Amino acid sequence: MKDIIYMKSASAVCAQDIFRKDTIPDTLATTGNNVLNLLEPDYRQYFSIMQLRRMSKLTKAGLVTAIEALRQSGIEKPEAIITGTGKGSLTDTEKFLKSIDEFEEGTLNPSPFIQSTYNSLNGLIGLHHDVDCYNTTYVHRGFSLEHAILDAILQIREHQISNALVGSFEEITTQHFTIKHKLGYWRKEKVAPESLFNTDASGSIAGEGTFFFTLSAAPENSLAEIRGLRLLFEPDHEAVAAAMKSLLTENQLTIEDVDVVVSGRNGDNRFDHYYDALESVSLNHTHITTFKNISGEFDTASGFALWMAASILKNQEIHPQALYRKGTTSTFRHLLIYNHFYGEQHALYLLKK
Amino acid sequence: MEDFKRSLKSQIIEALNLQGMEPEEIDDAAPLFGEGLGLDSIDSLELIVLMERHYGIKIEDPREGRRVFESINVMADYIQANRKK
Repeated sequence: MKDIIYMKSASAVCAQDIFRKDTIPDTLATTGNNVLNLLEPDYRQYFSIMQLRRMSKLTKAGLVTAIEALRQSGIEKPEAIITGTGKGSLTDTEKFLKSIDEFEEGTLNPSPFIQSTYNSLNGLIGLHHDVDCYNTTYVHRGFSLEHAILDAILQIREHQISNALVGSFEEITTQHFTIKHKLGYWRKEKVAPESLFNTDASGSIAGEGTFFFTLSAAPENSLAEIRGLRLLFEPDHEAVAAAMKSLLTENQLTIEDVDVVVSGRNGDNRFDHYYDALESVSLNHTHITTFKNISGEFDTASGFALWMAASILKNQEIHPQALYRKGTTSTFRHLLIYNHFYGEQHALYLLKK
Repeated sequence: MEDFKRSLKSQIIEALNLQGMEPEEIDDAAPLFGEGLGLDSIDSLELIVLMERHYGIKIEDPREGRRVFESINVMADYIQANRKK
């Protein structure tokens, strides 16, 4: 049997007030413009003004989220820092590209360039904790966080490391929202997050956030066990069902053992049929939950799913707005996450309390 | 010259994003790097960009930059003697 990977901590900064918390608040942040922007913590508790001045919104949010994930786990020096991001720091990228145009490729400010590189957050985390361990960022669109987690799992199972700080970071800018709006990613009409699944239309609502987890080979004080991960690119329904079955079988489980499904349903009528298919085989006792009506959609939204999964398993509670179909079981032991990014990158996670 | 130094300090505060700092808080004679304001090597690159954009001065030799950015007084004198705009 493969070694079990334990999640020791989960930390998040997103549109909801969950930073340094382990439950979703009763009252949720909402939006009237189809974007759920992240709620910035008070950074002055963590950094001096001289440190803050060069960091962008996403870098600051990512660094404090990583700091809190490590603090919660009691790990001072991680043996690997592995992240995933679909687009990285868009604010800095846009700033840098605009200055190239404005100053005709002449002398350009170095700070936006440095911050726009995908691995700049990882570098800052390493510097902040004074570690020069394995340090990598995966930029694979809807598979970005999954590859970071997969990398950590493989290295822990091969005994190259005993723990890893794994995370994701994503932001949405006005310009990027407009570009993706033209590409059909977002709803044409304004829709409140709480009504996302009540209307039959294409597109979803945008979100952003950063999520960090510590993974370890040691079971002590863990939030959950990560029992397996499956990645599929543009599969059909049968391939998703087969992947789910093999993931459960590998862990001597069947669909009857699944207490909670965390579904990446985003209200886009072009792609939600994948979730319909998987949910249709779930049994009556299984609770079906959603999260994109709470976090918004983005390349690494599965970070919120993982954070919420850890919260459900730890507290044995499901937030009312996350509950899509109520099941009958009252004990949450096995949890399945199924998420895809606009029908292309599909991921299945199996977690156990 | 005093007005020019104040304007230069404002430009530096904006370029280096020294949030909450006022021009009066920067000592004209104090070192900008290391002690004093405590700037670092990335800041020196930002100051090179500032010099070119605001005053048309190109600093291509880093050793020259180290000398020019010694303090506000030195920087102001250098700009007045070499500015192209």
